[in-house]
Amino acid sequence: MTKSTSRWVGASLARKQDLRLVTGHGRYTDDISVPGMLHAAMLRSPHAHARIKSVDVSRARALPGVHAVLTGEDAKRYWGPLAPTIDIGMKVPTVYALATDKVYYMGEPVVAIAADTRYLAEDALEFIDVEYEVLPAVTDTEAALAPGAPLLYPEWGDNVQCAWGMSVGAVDETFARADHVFEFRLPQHRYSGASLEGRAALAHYDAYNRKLTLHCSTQAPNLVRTLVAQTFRFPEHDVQVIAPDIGGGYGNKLQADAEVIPCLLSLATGRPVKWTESRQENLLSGMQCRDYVWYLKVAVSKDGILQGLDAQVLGNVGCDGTCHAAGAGKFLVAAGYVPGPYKWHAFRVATKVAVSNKAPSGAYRGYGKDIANYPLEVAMSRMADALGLSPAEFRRRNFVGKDEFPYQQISGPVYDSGDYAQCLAKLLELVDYDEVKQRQAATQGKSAKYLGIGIASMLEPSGGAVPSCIFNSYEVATVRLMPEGGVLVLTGHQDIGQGSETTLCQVVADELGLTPDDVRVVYGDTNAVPYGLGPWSSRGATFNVSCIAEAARRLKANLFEVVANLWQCEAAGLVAADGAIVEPGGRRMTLRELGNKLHLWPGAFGVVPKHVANPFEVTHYWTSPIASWTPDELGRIRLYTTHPSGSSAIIVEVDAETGKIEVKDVAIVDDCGVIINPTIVEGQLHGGYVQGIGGALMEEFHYDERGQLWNTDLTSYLHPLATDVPDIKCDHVISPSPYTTLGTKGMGEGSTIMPCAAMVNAVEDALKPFGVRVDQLPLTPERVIRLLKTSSIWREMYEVGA
Amino acid sequence: MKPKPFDYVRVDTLPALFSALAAHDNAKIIAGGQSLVPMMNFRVAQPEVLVDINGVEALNHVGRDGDWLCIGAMARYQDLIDSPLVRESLPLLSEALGHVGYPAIRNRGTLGGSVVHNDPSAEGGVALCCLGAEVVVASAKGERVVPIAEFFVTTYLTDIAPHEVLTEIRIPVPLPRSGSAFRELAKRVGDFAIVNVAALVSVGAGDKVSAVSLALGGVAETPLSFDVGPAVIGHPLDAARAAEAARLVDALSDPQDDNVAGGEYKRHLAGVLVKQALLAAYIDAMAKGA
Repeated sequence: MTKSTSRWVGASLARKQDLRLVTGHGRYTDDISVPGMLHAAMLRSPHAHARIKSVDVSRARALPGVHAVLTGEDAKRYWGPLAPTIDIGMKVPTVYALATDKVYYMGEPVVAIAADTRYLAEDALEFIDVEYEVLPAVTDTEAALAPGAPLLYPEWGDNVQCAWGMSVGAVDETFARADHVFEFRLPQHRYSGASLEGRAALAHYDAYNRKLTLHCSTQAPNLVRTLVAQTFRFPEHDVQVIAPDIGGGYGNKLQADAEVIPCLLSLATGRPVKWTESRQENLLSGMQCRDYVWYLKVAVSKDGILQGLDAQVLGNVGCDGTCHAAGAGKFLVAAGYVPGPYKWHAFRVATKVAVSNKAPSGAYRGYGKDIANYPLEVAMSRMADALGLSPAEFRRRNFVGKDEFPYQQISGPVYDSGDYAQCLAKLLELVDYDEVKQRQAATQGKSAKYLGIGIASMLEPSGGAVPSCIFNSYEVATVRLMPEGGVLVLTGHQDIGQGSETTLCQVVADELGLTPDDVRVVYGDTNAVPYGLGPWSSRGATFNVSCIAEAARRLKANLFEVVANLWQCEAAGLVAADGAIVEPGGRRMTLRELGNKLHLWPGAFGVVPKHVANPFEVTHYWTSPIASWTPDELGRIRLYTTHPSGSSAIIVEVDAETGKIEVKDVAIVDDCGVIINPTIVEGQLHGGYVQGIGGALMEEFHYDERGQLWNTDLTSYLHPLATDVPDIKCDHVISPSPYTTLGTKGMGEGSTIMPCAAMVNAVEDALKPFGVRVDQLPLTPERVIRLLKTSSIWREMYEVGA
Repeated sequence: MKPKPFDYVRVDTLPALFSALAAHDNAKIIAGGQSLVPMMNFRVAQPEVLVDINGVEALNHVGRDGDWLCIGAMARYQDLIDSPLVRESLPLLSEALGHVGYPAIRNRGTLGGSVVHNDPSAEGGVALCCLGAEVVVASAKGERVVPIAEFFVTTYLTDIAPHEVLTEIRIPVPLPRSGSAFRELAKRVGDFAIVNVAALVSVGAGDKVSAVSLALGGVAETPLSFDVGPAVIGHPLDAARAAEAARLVDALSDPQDDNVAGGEYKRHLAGVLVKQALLAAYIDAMAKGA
């Protein structure tokens, strides 16, 4: 196939969507109003675990302006249980979007109301009487797995939603023979993404047209259509999902959970019903994430070479990680990727996923790769310290080498390409590592401010192709030539802030010799686009870019055939450049002229020879050339296509008196293969890293042991502000992937994966004089002081009254 | 996240305000609305009538009356921060109010509203406690003047009746050779503090401390003053004296666990900030010359 000259791929093109978004002319779901529209509000459970003894909605139903008041029992008559989003050997509970006999978490919707205004709907909530019989709750992961724990689903016999494990190599022997064996317990707390736009849904059931239209804020309109159709047992082709501008997703908007409630209200009333969640609802029941404990055992030789890894992860998916959202799967991904970018001789892993009385668990930037990264990267720095090696040197000795790709990791995945050592070397240069360590030595002990630097390396498996779940294995897209020579790209991929509305134009412009302004990306309407799966698993630059580039190439080849026929020349000699198809040194036909010829003057019959495939548009199906669901001789499968990588560093100053951590400097070196738009890539790195810093320092769903969530507003659930984050330095290594059309790799999650480990490593480095070992996140000032208090040196220096 | 239905009355004079308050049982005054409106949206506050005093010119003043600075109930944070009069006569108040929320909150919120609301770590309340302020509470029946420490009853509760309004805050201007400092630790810039400390130190002959006033927020149900005179009066203030003062505060306070932080940590933090604030206030006083 003709090779295109790259002109737009690699350019820091300004984002096409920003004109409307930054001037306030974006159109989000809540901006949409239709005649006759009602507004929904939901009564939510105040208890984490309770039996619903009775629900009396008669007083609310009687209020003027209230059009529907529905309970779980009502709902059961009209719909089925929530359709599963994932079931890979998992226990799938039968649950509804409105609680029926039991509530499983604080904030679970119990009654839904549709009224003339949101005000009236919320007023009416106060007229509903629910009688609960409170049951014992369990929130802690290990408590949920302990014998005798309160059971969410008694028919299961325990609280285990899924369990899995694998072993490769002589694990026990390796540990028995090892020079050093290190053990770690590393938990991480529960936090999640925070989109500026929360969940929003406007459902309209049109009985006269037998059609359900759902506008909603989602990352995956096609998947939502399927899940809604399954939940309502409604013909899928009679459901249309429209996702307009989306104010952030981060993995949180990959299901049809509460979104089905406005659909039900619309079916019940025959009128459009809109629900836009409040921030409180988002914190109570928007998808939550993280929440796990790792036990790690690592065998290392005396010269600092990793030998064996024996790991166990216990995950907590709240009330459910299969139907409400697909949270359970991330712990399987975590187990498969805990070996990270390093080489091993023996590996054993076990994972156990617990349900508990917390909100449902979904995806959030990482989906297990973050879970895999955190314990190992903290362990790497601690082990380096114990071995008397620098954290960088210890990592270097154990990285997969740049000449070893494709490299099959011991757990099964095939790593496509990379240069991990170069990423780390560039990072040390970017952050001036040696200078920081000198400054640390010169200033330590001179004031209460302790300087520290931490590094973490990462793998970002991107483009997951997971069997038996919505995160499946293909992408379909259409590239269409219009009569006037412009091009439409029709894709199921949703722009959720990552900029695909712009980057896909860059890709297609290069393939067809156009400018990005000659191309428009159409997305967000299930009745306009092919059934593509959407953005998750950093799959855009793996699946979708490859799919669309291939579609454009095929369309171009078909157009060349048409032109070659007109000119009576060889198609192989033609190129597409500057908006035209060109015979080098000879004739030229613009795409507008060609589009006109094909469609109008004279039209296809006069210009398209019989042997040419569709010159109007090409719909292409792309799937991974490397993923495999057939287990190899060791029982291993391969789910991910590309393996972006990188390293990052955080420099902190810890105030040993107050415990406050100030982030002084952040640097990231990323390798996502061929870069389509450097500005967008750096924006992703910045935003993702800040989310990780938030998780490391302040973000936390604070549940007590009764399952009460204490922080349900943004004055108590804290995110980093501009004042909490320094400028972030970025640099890149480019190792093109051999498995994608353009050599691109995903890059949406990598920078969120690293910060927690880098932060812990930085704080432990800063507080080395006190021998602090972080055992819990987030590192609030209070937790830092609690850690310091265990040091007698600190108590002598800083304890009040000392 | 929508309030219960409520009526709205706007008044321009104090008499009109008094009659509006008299006419309704469950009325609430709205000034800047920075605490009240979120509480209404959460339905924690459910007034039947909002009486808007933004138009009452008689409440919008900042002026000096002899040795007192008088601040009307409608004076907004940012106006107080920007006021040269406040900056010169009460630098502690200027410094403290600079820690309140974000620009949008400071542009709208009022010191009077914050005092009546009485969040235990509100910067204004802590500074006013340290400065020994008084508040003027008025109703149709007349005025009464209440020392700030008595006005703060407990968290979110003050010595004010439903038919009354706080009209003015009066603050004694400190002695000439006085210095002050405000220190706080919040999880993020603009958040309510975990603990905050206001210190006012006067020095006399031989650079010895002649008077001291100290108030803390976040350690009790209201902002609280502590008498650390025994530790520092009559001596130059050094690190050892400051530490002694911190021990006094520690012995007198018993902060409880809450949603922001645990009592044990607050106790530790109070000690750190008391030392820092006292030393900074002393240095500030010394800079004022002999």
